[in-house]
Amino acid sequence: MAITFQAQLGPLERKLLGEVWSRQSVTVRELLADGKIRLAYTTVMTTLDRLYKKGLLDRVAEGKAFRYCCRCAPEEVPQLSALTNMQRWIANADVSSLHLSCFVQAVGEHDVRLLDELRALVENKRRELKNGRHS
Amino acid sequence: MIFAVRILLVALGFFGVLYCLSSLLLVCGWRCFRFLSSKRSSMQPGTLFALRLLPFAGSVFVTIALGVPAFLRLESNAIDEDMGTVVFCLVALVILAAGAYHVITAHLKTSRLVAKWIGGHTVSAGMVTPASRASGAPPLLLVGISTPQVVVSEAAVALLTNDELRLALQHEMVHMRSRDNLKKLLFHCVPFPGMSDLENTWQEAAELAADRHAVSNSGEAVDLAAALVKLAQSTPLQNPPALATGLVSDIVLVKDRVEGLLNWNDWAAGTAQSGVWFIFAPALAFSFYVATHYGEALLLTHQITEWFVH
Repeated sequence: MAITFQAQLGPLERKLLGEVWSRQSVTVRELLADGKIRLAYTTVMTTLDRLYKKGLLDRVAEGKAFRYCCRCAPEEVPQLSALTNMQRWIANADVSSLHLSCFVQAVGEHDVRLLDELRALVENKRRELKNGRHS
Repeated sequence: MIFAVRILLVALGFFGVLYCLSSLLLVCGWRCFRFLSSKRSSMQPGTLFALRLLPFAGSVFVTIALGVPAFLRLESNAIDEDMGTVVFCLVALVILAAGAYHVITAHLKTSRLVAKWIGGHTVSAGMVTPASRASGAPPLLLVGISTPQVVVSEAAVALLTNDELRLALQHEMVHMRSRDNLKKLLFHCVPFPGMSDLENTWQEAAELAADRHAVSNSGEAVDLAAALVKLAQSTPLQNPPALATGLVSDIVLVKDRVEGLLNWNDWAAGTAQSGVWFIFAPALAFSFYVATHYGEALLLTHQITEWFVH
């Protein structure tokens, strides 16, 4: 399985992502079972957890462990990775002068969440004022 | 006649040099200020407006008060002029032509878009005009320079409660009273590269000031905040045309405005940082010095002009 992106992921992350993609869904124990990967259980577990946090893998609980699967095809990984990074950056940075159209998708999703939060704040304040008037 | 042309050349050249140098100084100074102050500027819109127009106004004032009198008093009546003066004069003409071009294109673009949005409706001064259902029309828009009017989309009327709509209109009326569209036109008249950040900061400050002056208590502030969020959620945010003012355009600014409105008591109690004296005090001191040492100032101006030209 050729994973073409290089910059965002380390060699071990790329290798494990390729393995998960080729098996569709897998647990850490299954990855280690056939002996192709000679690493400590905790190393594989931590790396898969990191890939999950980067938004490249999905996981569901299975007993005491997790079963991992890819969130997208390998050719879509760079785009998804960039999107996740941008969303994280937007959430943490001051982007008052952000006008670049290539950020539209990430910004759009961030905007929807932000507006929902603002609406909730407005409704809370309205209730607060109404309660203050009645009491 | 030829001497009069020479005076005009010198005046334009003098203005061109002064305008470019003072604008460059302002752009660099503003960038340093932005770099050093991490948070959003809390300056009043009036201060930012004065700052933006200072290079132009200052250059015109110094040209009329010092440049031309120094030339008339200290220059011979010869009809030949150095090449340097002609070059500086061309620079000034390019600046003025660029200003005229910016104004005409901005006016044409704004008129075209507004005409599309209001459909076949005719509009008259001071009236609130319903916008058509044309896709992409902003919910509320203040258009026009000499006879401004508010254009309201049917979607905004349907979406907002009566109180919310009243406060949204009040917000636009504050812009109308402040003649913000005229100020935008003046920005276009005096272009200079690198000024857009200062202009955007003025725009943000003007929006915050309009919010603050549109409401008079916490209840109204919450209604205006609700209107902002509803309109931002229901319509795609877009910058208004160059010579118009929109109610909602930038998501980050909407967030700041809503947060300010929800904490209206603190917001209204706090005074915005007024930096107008930082601008006018040195200008007044300079004017006073020039008035009291006019002869020396003319001589110095003449020497500097000669040095530049040669």
